[in-house]
Amino acid sequence: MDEASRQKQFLKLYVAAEPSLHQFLQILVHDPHLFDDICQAVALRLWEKFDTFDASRSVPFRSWARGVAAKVVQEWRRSERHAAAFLSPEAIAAIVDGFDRSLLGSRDLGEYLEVLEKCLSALPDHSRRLLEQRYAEELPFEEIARRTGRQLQATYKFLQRLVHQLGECIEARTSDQELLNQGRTNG
Amino acid sequence: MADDNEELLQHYLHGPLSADDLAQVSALAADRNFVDRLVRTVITHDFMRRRAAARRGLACSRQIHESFDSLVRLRADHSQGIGRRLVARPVLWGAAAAIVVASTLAVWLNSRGEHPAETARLASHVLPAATGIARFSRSVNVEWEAHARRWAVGDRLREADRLDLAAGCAELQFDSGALMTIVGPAALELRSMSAVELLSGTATTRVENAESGEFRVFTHSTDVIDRGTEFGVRVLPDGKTDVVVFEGEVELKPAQARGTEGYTARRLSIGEAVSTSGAGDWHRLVAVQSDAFPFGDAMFQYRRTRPPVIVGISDDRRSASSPKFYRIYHEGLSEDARAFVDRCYEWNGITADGIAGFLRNADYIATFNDDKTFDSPLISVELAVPATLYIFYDDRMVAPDWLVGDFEDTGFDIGIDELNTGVGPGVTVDQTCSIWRRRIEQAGGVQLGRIGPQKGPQPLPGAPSMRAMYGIAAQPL
Repeated sequence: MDEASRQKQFLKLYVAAEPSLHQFLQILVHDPHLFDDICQAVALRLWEKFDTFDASRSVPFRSWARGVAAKVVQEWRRSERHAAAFLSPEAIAAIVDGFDRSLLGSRDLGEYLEVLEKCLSALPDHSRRLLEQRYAEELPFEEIARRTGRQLQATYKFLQRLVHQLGECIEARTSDQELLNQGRTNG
Repeated sequence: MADDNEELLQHYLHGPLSADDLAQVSALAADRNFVDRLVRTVITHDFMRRRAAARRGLACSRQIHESFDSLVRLRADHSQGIGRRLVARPVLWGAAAAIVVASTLAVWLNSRGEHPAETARLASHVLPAATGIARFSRSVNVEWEAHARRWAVGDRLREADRLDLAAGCAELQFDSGALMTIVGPAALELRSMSAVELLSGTATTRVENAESGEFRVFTHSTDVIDRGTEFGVRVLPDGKTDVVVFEGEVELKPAQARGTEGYTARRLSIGEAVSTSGAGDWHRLVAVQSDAFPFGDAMFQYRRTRPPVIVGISDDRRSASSPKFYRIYHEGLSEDARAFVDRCYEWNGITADGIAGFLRNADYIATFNDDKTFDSPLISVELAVPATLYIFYDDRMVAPDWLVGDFEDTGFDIGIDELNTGVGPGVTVDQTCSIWRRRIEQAGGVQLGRIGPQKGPQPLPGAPSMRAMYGIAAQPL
């Protein structure tokens, strides 16, 4: 494979895997300045290591990429003066496993966003509205609490429950679709 | 899952996490259940952010493809300044610079993914004259005025189009994201995809996508400017305008102030309602009937089985500073019924058995929870027929003399779902209220007193009050 084709193949895989990688790093890194640097460092390392990725093996690119990213984070954790800004090595390994188990990280973003729309439309109006206020309008929690007449803490709690509920809905619908596809294949 | 762990998950949504939080997450990572919840929460949070970014952006597939192609063609001399800090080995320079750009562009591409609905919305912004600005989406028992155009479900309406309803309900879906239910008799003219003039009748509007801007309802006397909310506007035959806010907040300007600068608009918040003639006068609307401002599926009103029991309510509250309204629901008490006008709390059965049978479909009043103070108002309820009057009284408070003396505790309870994430009885019930009853043998007014103090130690000044205002319901004898 010539260099241009190799680069194109990498970019294609990277663009598809980026949402999952970004989510993974969001859990591990909490300093916004470090976050950008680590994202770039991970992208570079993936490119450096791309020769070792074997597309014919059963490990998908995004799982392989998370493994590489975890190593990069571990290195930063060791080299940075503020190790307290990172999760422990054991926790990082547990998060890697958690992503591998998750039904939310194995498909392309577009598919999840389609399912997300369906799950959103199944929510009560006031729940959907609160999510819109937070994500679409980017209102501060204080303003949402004021508008909806809730305590701030109750607003945090409500939003977290809603987000988790949506996640479960996406998992359930994705898993149903998976079974349907398997049925079609087997049938 | 323990509350502390839930709180950690909440921190992931509004961040940043402190060093202590990170240490706690590290300690909890051995718990597979916690990790799975954390992963699910963060991924879904990210999906929501990307969805919002995609809806904000005016994505164009050609632009994206061109950008991708140019990225692939990227060479080191195009972007030597990028990633200098990170690139250690010169031999990787050219490709590395491209990859660093790729990491940025990938975020951009993924966050701007095209969405068919978004494209349609974009098209309607660009070509309003050709495609219209709103859709006639639903109607119930509509009768049109003799001279009026008869709109059908699915029709597209353009600027300056009018709806002249003699009776029934109609629903409009604006391309800006606003949804409006109009109750006839009513006359309405469309000004744009985010503004209408209500000439007569009632319109209730909800703006789902506030990112698309304000929504305005003009009347003869008042301009109502939506700030992301659900609100009702009613134009009366004498020209006065009633405005009721069910969620969020609106701004009001008298029509006389149009075109003048420096006029401070009046803000109206959740649970507030006023009537105005347009001369800068604002009068509190004390009670709003639930049928008066139907919205969404409520436009399909089912047939009532009996005449109303509760026909009015008044209090000793001064009206000018806080124009709160009571909402009277006829045959409205059921699971997940809204409990207060100024909170999204709901009434629910404490257990899966549900709300006590004698209360189902009772008339009830949504009071305002902000009245849970010592100087809560003296309320008078107007009954049309002899009835059993019920009070739902928060168990965290001492029962006052008027309640203990005039009412009896039924021994049954009803719950308040403050977060209202759950649907149906016994789900996410946060507070318990005892149900008290009093037999009222004659129609007329019944005086209720103020609420009692909190049980146990009193909260310090300024601390939140851990109690709720009482609820009121009635069934005919």
